[in-house]
Amino acid sequence: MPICCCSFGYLFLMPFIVGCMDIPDDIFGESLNLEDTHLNEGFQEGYETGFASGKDDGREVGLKTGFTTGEELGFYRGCIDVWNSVIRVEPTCFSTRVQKNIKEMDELVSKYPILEPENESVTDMMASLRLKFRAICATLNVKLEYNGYPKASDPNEIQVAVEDLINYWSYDSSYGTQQEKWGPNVRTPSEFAVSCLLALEGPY
Amino acid sequence: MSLLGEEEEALKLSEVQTLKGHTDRVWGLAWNPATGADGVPAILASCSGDKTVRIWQQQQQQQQPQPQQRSCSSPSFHCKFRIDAKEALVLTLRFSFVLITTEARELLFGKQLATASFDAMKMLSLLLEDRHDRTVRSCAWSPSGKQLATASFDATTAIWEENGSDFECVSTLEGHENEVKSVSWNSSGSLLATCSRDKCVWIWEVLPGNEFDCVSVLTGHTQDVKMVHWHPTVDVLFSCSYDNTIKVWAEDGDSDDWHCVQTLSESNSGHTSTVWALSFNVTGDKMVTCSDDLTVKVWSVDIVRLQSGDIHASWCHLCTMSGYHDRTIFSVHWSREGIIATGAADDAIRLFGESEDQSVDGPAYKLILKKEKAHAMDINSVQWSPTGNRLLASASDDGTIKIWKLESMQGTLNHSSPNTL
Repeated sequence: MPICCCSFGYLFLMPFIVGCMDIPDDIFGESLNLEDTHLNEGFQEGYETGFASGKDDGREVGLKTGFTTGEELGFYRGCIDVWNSVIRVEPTCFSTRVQKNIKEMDELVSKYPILEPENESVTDMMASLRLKFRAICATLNVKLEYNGYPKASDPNEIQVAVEDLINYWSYDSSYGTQQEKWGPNVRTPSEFAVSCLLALEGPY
Repeated sequence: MSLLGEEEEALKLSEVQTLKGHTDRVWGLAWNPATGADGVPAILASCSGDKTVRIWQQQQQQQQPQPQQRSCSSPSFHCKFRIDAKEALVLTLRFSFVLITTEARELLFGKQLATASFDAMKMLSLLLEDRHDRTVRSCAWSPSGKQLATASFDATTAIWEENGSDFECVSTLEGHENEVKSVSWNSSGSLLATCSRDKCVWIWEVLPGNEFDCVSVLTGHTQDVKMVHWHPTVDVLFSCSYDNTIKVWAEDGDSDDWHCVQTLSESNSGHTSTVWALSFNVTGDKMVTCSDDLTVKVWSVDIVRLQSGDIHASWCHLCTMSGYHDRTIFSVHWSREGIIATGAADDAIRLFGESEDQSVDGPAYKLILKKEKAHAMDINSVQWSPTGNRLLASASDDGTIKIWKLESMQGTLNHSSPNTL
């Protein structure tokens, strides 16, 4: 008899229990999912802020890159236009090779995808333009440059390289093995730094 | 055929002469290919950290000191040179004056000049100066022997031509961004290549009237390019670099389109550290390279394929000579007879030859001779004379150039003793 009562009671309560599961989260759900909610809120906030600042950053970078690219392309365009005018006036002034290079540069500058910064070929095109330009200048024996002309060896590069060297070959046990390479006269870190500078700037 | 003949004769490297004059380390040497034979006295160019280039000319052996030589060696001239370097330099720009070092003076005054059958390089030295602002790192004669190209740390390459008794700078090649490390003419003299610390290799075309057109700027190396050298028979360019690789550059057709056709790196059994120099054997089917990794490697190519125009004929590793050097090897040169000479940072010159032991697949090389303490400091360059007289020139950080003669040990019995020279 008691068993029957218990089972009845259980059966009676079942719908309530089931009913509680069915009820939407407004009673318990909110407190249970608080972590999730906060996470989502935070993410949303962050995303919006990031989006805005990213847009600003992007605008800045785009402006800078656009300016430098535009300046460089414009410089080449100017040079090509001048050279083309010279060729028109006096077709024999430049050798065929130089004229061919000028023509190729012309094509590259015209075809440069200015409005597609993510086009993968831009780096190659720019490198090719720079090389052609250097070759033409060398043949014509002129020194054409503008502020911001990219160079392979930055003065900063050397400084950075030296700092790296000093950090890497720190004055400890590993220094002993390098002593042979840098010469027996190097004894102190400062001498070592001087020899590094000489090595980078000087012979070899 | 082995160089040494059927029985191995003991060889030695005897010092013929020491050429002094440079006031800083001597970086490079170049024998003039149009001299040294048929009665033409041999000419050697040397370039140095003292920003000058010196041209040395072999003088004919004299039985007795000539009267005019005596007057040239008069104390007043010698003193004059010491006191007023500038004036003396003007004087030395004429071939007719002879710079005499103390050794030679002893010879002229003291003993009769030995009639040794091997050649002595008298100090007839011409000084090319005031052109470069920094160290002259490398020099190379054109195949005709008429022009000399000098590469300098001031980022320019100068072209010199003989003008009467003097050399004048007829052209300057600019374009590199920083120190130019090496210059090389191709076998026909129509192309010139230069390389630099800016990781680029430039190819120039030689046009009439001393005009030089830049044909191409080759990028590809990721570090300082140490040396460029053209193949002796085909217009294929080789460059070696601080990035441990050797790159082979060739032109596609005739279109000025030069690109890298092969890279010999660690993965193709290449060097594991800076490659300092390379040299070809006389037929051009083998190449030897030396490196900071203390090994010398020999490479070979299918020469028939290469000469028939296939620029993609690839080079493969043949042999590595390791364990012979314990310091960086700065220079390697293959003589026309097949002897490989190396100059290293341990002040020694080593000679390698093809070994008769053909048991391994392909030829092997063995050490013929090691000349220890050849110089007082690092040897920067070794160059065999282009004529077959077994003369070797070496240049060192100690500022001197030494001329050596490779001869058999028995040779000393027939010649006057080396002390008289």
